[in-house]
Order: sequence, then structure tokens, then C-alpha cells
Amino acid sequence: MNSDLYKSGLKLLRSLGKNAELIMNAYSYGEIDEIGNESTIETLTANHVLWQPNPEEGMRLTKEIRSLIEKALRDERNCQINFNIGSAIARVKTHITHYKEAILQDRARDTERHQRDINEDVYIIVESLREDLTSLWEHINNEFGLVLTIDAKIRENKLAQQQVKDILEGLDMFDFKELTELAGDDRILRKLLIVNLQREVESCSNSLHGAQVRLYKMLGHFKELKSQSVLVQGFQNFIDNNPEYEPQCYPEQSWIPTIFNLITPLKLKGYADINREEYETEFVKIVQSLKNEEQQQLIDDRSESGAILIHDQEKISYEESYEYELLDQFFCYVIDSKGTKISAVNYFNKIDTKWENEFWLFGVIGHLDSLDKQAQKLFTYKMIDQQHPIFTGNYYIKDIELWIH
Amino acid sequence: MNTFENITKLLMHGAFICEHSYPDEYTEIQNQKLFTKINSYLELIGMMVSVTNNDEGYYCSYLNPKEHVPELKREFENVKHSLAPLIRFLTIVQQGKGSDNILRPGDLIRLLEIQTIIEDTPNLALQLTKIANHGMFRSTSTAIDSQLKQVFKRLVEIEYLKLANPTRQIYVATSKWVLLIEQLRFINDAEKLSLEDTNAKDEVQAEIIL
Repeated sequence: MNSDLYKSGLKLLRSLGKNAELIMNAYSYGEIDEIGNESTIETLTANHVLWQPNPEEGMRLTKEIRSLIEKALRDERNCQINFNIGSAIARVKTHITHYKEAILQDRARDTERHQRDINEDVYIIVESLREDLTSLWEHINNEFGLVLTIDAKIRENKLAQQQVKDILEGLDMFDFKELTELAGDDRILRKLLIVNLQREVESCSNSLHGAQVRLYKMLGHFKELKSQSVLVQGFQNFIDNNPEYEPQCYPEQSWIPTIFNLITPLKLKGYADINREEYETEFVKIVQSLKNEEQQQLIDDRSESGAILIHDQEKISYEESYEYELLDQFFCYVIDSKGTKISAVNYFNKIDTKWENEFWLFGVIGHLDSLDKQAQKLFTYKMIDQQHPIFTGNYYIKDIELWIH
Repeated sequence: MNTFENITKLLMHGAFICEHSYPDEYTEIQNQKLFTKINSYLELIGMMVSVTNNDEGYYCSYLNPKEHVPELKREFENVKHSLAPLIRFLTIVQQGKGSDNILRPGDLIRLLEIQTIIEDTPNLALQLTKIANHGMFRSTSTAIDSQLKQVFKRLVEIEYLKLANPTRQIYVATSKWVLLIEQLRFINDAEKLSLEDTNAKDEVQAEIIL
């Protein structure tokens, strides 16, 4: 490349960078006003960055710059499938004819140039096909997410189906028999046209057939959604006009549709068998959750608490109780026994009371403690205890022996 | 609890198992072997597993429905009773989203977002009050936020919605809506309501007016 061309290229790219904001505005809004930017716009127009369809309209980005930005930003809003296969094939064929002519006439430099052109042609075809496919599949994979309504999606889907059809028709234009003949026994051409290009066209065609199936299914899906939407809206309107409407009772008919064959939920109730050791972890979890619930209840109660009614406390007259009487009788019995050790349990078994053994023993200890010091000194006692069978260091009081000095 | 026990009990409790309501159980029950095992068990006690179109959801049915007409009638009363408010809920969400796209299983609904929209749209607020006061939702409140909360709470209870993100109050629609649409379509066909036609007529009329 000569140095002038190189310098001009640099100048162009720098001017793009310098005017980035202006270019992005043109990209975003479609066009820009000339006011205030006349000289810049003039330069950019001269460089084929901007153009003006007619004097009344604003300046627009040229197709090349717009597509450059779209591709770099992966902005698929405006990406279009517009690759013209027919003209690409015609171009390849023309370049092949130039190339073969150059070979025949033994013009080495021209041969080389035409070969580069053919290379470039094939490369452009491959790239364009791949780009079209990527763009198409992106649309398919996000289910035409750029448009909101189902109707718009259905239209987009139909458009995509048409595009797929167009590309497939375009691919049919590749006549590989003709290209094989054209390539003849030229090794380079055969590799380019028969191996590379054919492989690409085949894979593209497979992908397109896949896309066709997907699009067709998706259209079915969109139509189903549309029909559901219409059905729901229709019922809404219907019920607004006929608020008293009731469908007939299908379960009474001879054939009951499965969609109305719904069981009455069974209330399965179970009780925990706490002797089943294998469920220990589950039980712990249940108990834990009960505790949590209780705590939550407490918190709720507290937060809901209003005025609390306070009643006069009832006087508890322990002394007059029947139990106190029994204990008192027992202590008198000990005194009467004049120093003989009296087993509290044996005594308890003889008397008629609803108390349980454990409460009785507890009562005896309590009663002993409640005596004044003078009286306490009168009694001596011995706890008869038993060690816990598993957990050492824990003792159960089995009996109390009580006597007086 | 093992998978078999868990899923069988869920079905017997009247649960609707789908990808969104019970994701793990849904994956498990798609295993043909387990499905057959559960179904055979249920058949022994006069029930069976039913599946919606496209296998989107599993629920429990009676093996011999003719023997359970009273129960089925009771359940049908429920369906009949809740049909109108559920459909109205669908249209509220649809209008709230501003699209013609009906709520689909897996769609997310942000409670606060829809609340803001309803608060700004008197017609939607009116629609909401209509369903909130319905016997199905039993809200006594006149405030939009508590009406909406009650409606969502109830929809979670009857498994049309699942709370996907409690802190941000994001709900996901379950596939039970598919069953509802199937029921509605059946009613439409059986009763010759021509719901889809009336709507089409409306559309044509709207186009003529335009």
C-alpha cells in the first residue's frame, strides 16, 4: 500500500474518533442537523461517513458506517438480512474468468491479483452467510424479544420465515457442478470453491432448515398464546355482560373430562411414634419448630398487647391445705417414733392420698426446709438415692429416712 | 421422606406439581419408572395421576370418577366459583404489563411494580376491588396494597403463584394457569360460547372504527 493511501486512512479514522459524538447522535436519532457543524459535516460527507438523501432532510450515516457500529455493538435492532447471493456468485464467476484469462496469457501479477479477489469474494460470501445466520438465530433465540405484542411477534416470525426462504433460494443458486467445471484442475480454485465454499453452504443450509422448523413451531406457540389471550379476553367480556352465567355441571354427565376430575384433597394426619429412634432428627426438627412458633407467638402477643386486666391475686393458704395436714401428721409420727428411722415412702404407701410418690418426697423435703431452725435441729434425715443407669453423676432420690435425735 | 412418599403425599393433598411450584418433584416425576410406581400405588386406592397437555403439570384424579360424583361436583363448584376472578386477575396483569401477552407459567410478577401501575390506573383499581371482594379472596380492605396482598396470598395458597423472592416480593406464575385455560377452553367449546369469535368481532369493529 502506498504511503499516501495509508496516511489518508489514518486521517479518516482519526476524524471518526474526533466526531464520535456526532456520529453516535446520527446513529441514535437517524439524522442530524447541519447547523453549527457545517465544516465537520462537509468533511464527513466527503469521506462517505454521512450522506443526505435530499436537501430537505438531515444528514444520515452511510450504510457502511451504520452497519459497522451495529456489528461492533451487537445492536440487532436494525440488523437486516440483505446479503445478495446472486450478485456475489456472479462476482466470483467474473473474477474466475479474469483469473483464468490471466493464467492463459501468462500475466503473473494479474493472476495473483485475481486470485486475491476470488479469495476475498469467497470470504465475503462465508462471512455474510454466517452473519445472517447469527442475526437470524439471535432473533429466534430471544423469541423476537424486541417487539412486545404477540401480533408483532407473529409478524416478525413470518418475516423471518420469508428471509430463511430467501436465503435458501439463494443457496440453491450455488451450482457446484458449474463451479467444479470452472475450477477445472486448478488446485487453489478447487480448494476455495469446492471444499471451503461447498462446506459452508451445506452447513448454512442445514442451519437454515433447523431455523425453519424452530420458526414454524414458534409461530404455532405464538398463535396458541394469541388464542389463549383472545379466549381470556372473550370470557372477561362475556362475564361482564352475563354476571349470572354458570356453566353446566360436567361431573354429572356420562363422561367426566380429566381436567375436571380433581380429587378432594385428602387430609393426611399422622402422629409421631417417639419410640422410633430412626426419626430422631425429624422429631428434633419438629420440636425446634414448635419452639420457634411459640416464640413467634410470644412476640406477636407482645406486639398486640393492649391494656392488661389485673385481678386481685387470690390468697393462697398453704397451711390450711390437706397436703400440709398430711405432712404435718407424718412429722408428728416421726416424733412419736422416738428415734426410730422412718421411711417416708413406707409411710406414704400406708396413707390414702392422690399424691404421687415423687410429690410426696418433694413435700417432705419442702416441709423440713420450712421448719424454723430450732425445730430443724430436732430432725436428722438421710436421702436414699440411686444413680442414673446411663448418665453417671445423676442421682434420683428414692426415699428419705427421717428420725429425731 | 423419600421421593416416592413425598410426591405421592403431595398429590393426595391435591397439589399441582409443575416446574415452577415444585421444581424438584417435577423433575423426579418425569422419570417414567417413578411415575409408574406412584400411579400404581394411587390406583390401589382408587386414584391416578393426571397430566395436563404438554406434560406441564401433574395432579391427582379419581380412577373411577363415576364413583365420586359428589366429591367431583364439590370440586367443580370451586372451579366454577373461582373461574371469573382468576380470569379477571389474568386480564389485570395483562393490562398492567401493557401487552397483549397473557400471563405464562414461569413469568415473574413484581408485586410492587403491579401495585404502582394499579394505583395509577383507576380502571385496574376497580377491577382489583372486584376480585378482592369476591368470596374467593375475601378481602375487606379498600386499600389497593392490602387487597393485592390478600389476592397474592390466596393465589399462592391455591398454587397459581409461588413466592420466588420474599424480600423483593417477586412471584412466579405456575403451570396451574395452563389447567385453568384448558378448563376455560372446554367450557367455551361445550357451552358453545364462541368466546374467541366475539372477541374477533370486537377486533374487526375496532378496526372499522379506526
